[in-house]
Amino acid sequence: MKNRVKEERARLNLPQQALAEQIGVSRQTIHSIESGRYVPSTVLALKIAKIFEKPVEEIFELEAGD
Amino acid sequence: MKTFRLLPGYFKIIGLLMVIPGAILGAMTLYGEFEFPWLDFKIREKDEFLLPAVENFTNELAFFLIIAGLLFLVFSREKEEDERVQQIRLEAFQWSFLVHFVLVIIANWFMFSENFFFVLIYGMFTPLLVFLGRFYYVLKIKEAPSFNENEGEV
Repeated sequence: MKNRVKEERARLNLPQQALAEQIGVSRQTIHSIESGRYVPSTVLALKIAKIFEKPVEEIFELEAGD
Repeated sequence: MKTFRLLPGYFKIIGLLMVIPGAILGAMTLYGEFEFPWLDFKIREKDEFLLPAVENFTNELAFFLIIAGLLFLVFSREKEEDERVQQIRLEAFQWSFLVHFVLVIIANWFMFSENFFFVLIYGMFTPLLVFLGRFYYVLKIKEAPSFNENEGEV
């Protein structure tokens, strides 16, 4: 699964730590999501999308092989 | 996300305070035949074959301290317990289950008689120990926070 969390964070000028605190996870989890090592749960993906005020599909996208 | 209820983080300290003395006491009873005299209890009328009338409970105490302490270490919360930590936790449980039984198979073919007695003793700790090893390896080393990557900045 691809994601645009890093780009969206850059758009809002939001550090990893700040995003992590807003959605109740550790900074390391945000880092793992951005580097593609961790696929968040639906709940977490929806929370992230809410922060960025975009539909979840604009942030998370299926890849070939998923 | 609804997840498995875990003990508060301070149970790690309680766990360590049980495991360390328990392990020392366990080694002393197993290899040094050490026994606390005040832990002698009469549990039968008279000695029977392999069943003495008076049983010393030093090894039972050591065993309890180790197992209960390890359980506290395994089932207490991390400081930042989120769904990714939960996933690492579950994966570590899978690991410990598999490694434990692979070790049992190996021990089955290569350890006999008295040696197998030690397999039975240590084998009771391996799932917990392998879990702790795997969980903290992934959490603290493999996926350790990488401060040099400058990811905190935008």
